[in-house]
Amino acid sequence: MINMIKADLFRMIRSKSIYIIIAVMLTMAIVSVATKTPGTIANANYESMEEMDMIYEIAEEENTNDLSSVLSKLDSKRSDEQKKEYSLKVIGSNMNLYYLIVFIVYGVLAADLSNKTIKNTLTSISGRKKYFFSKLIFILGSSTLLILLNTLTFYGINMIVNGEKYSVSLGRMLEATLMQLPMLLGLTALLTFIVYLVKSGAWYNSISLLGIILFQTVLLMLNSLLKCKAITTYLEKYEAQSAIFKLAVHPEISHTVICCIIGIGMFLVSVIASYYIFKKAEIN
Amino acid sequence: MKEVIVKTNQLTKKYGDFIALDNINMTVNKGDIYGLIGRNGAGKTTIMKIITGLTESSGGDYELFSRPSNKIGDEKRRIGCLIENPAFFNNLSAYNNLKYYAIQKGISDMSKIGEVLEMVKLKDVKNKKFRTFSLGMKQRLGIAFALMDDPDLVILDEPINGIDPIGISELRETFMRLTRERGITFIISSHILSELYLIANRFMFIDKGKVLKEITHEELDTECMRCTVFRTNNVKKATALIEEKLNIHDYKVIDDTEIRIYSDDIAPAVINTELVKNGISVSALFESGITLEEYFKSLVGGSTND
Repeated sequence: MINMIKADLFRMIRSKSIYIIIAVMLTMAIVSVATKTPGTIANANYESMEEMDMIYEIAEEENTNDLSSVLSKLDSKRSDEQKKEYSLKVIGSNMNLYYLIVFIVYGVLAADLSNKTIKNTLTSISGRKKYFFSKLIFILGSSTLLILLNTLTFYGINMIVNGEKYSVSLGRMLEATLMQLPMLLGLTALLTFIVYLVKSGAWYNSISLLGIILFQTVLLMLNSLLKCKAITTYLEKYEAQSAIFKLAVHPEISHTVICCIIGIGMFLVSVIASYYIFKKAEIN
Repeated sequence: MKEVIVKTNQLTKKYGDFIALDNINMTVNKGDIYGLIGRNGAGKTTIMKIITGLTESSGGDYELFSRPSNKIGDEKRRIGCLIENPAFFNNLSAYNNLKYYAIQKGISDMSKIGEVLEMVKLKDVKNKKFRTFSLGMKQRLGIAFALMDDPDLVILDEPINGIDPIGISELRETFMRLTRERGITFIISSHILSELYLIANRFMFIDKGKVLKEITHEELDTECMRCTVFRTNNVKKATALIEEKLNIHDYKVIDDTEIRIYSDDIAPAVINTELVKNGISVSALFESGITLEEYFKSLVGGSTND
């Protein structure tokens, strides 16, 4: 199994995608530090919108619609506590990393199935069980590394550029990141399940990239139409993006425990279902 | 007794109602170059996919290196394989593609990669990306992968696809040398009998998932060779006469009524006269012998689709 993981590492460092992933991660950190705002790629969640009121207030006071001039004054409106909380909000935007993890899973697993290079391994190197678990370990390991590296990179750049005033301690940042891990790794396992299910790189990309946006949109639509409390609660607290934000910024024990259970549940169901599909699948 | 490398027992594969393999019994011994011959869709690739674990059988069983299919573990390392089209990573060079699998296999001596690339004449282009390779070059790289790590069994599915005639001849020599020098066993599939004939020592003809015939190279020669066929009611007396009076030793008794004479030193009419003169009735006399293609057609009962 170690040899399989070593081989994937060998291939990863020779692919462009890993350098693109690192570049995107660094860009996100730099942009965030420079603008002192957490950025989100997917649908904005409720809590990350809380500064919108402050933005409208400044716009009214200054009597301007120029967003850049409003944003430049936003920081002066923040209290010291809010300034420190900004660093946690960046960690709260870690759902952004999902899109980078999509590429990791593609490079390590989906490409192998899609190009049919998996045949070489399965026919003359290892059995399916060893293949399955070595790929899973490598994907989970590299995703975890990416998540931690993102926190450390942001912390480092933020401390250099903005200083202590804009950051909580490294321990608190890592604690927030670790609390998000079950949810993020659950999503990672879900991505591997999609790969084994569709066995095609193109389908995997479509489902993993558009599927999550579609899922959020449908839920928002249902919430508006049905006014169902359960959907509202889910969207506010447990939908991946909201949950990850809340875990970092406003952690509560009950919420953390439920998110942990959701993450582990998603992980176990995805892994078991993936293994069952893969074990029986014909490799063409 | 020869060591058995692959043995299948009533191997069956169904896709819904379609029977892709129907009770296949096959035994491949150490050092064999075993040719699987059949038309497209005959079931050759399916046999290979089952014994390499790419798909499960619907019935029957098989053994690899005398281990039952459900207990095959590290034995996989003893197999080199190229099934269907060669598949490698487009963004990696030929060398790095093989290195990736060498690391997976735990090979520490990377000079083996150079050796196999040399064997398939790809050493000069080892740093070229796989995506830039022609079909023939891709096929050669697939063969190089199969030969890496000194396998005991090499399974090649239509290995000469896209390779030029000189390349085919070189690969043929390489396979035969590897069998001779290292005792490597090959299972090679093809729908071109004339090509397999030059290399294999045993053949299995397969059509519509059923084994039509399993035959050695010598038996195939006998079946196809030009000869004079005599049908008589007294084979024993006839053979004695052929040997003693006509001094013909190059013949074969097929069954109780048939003798095949391969020597063309004496005209069939002379032999016939001699037999009749000695009271041996000849019920039939004719020239026989067919080409490999005709033989293949006669077995599958129709025209080949090549």
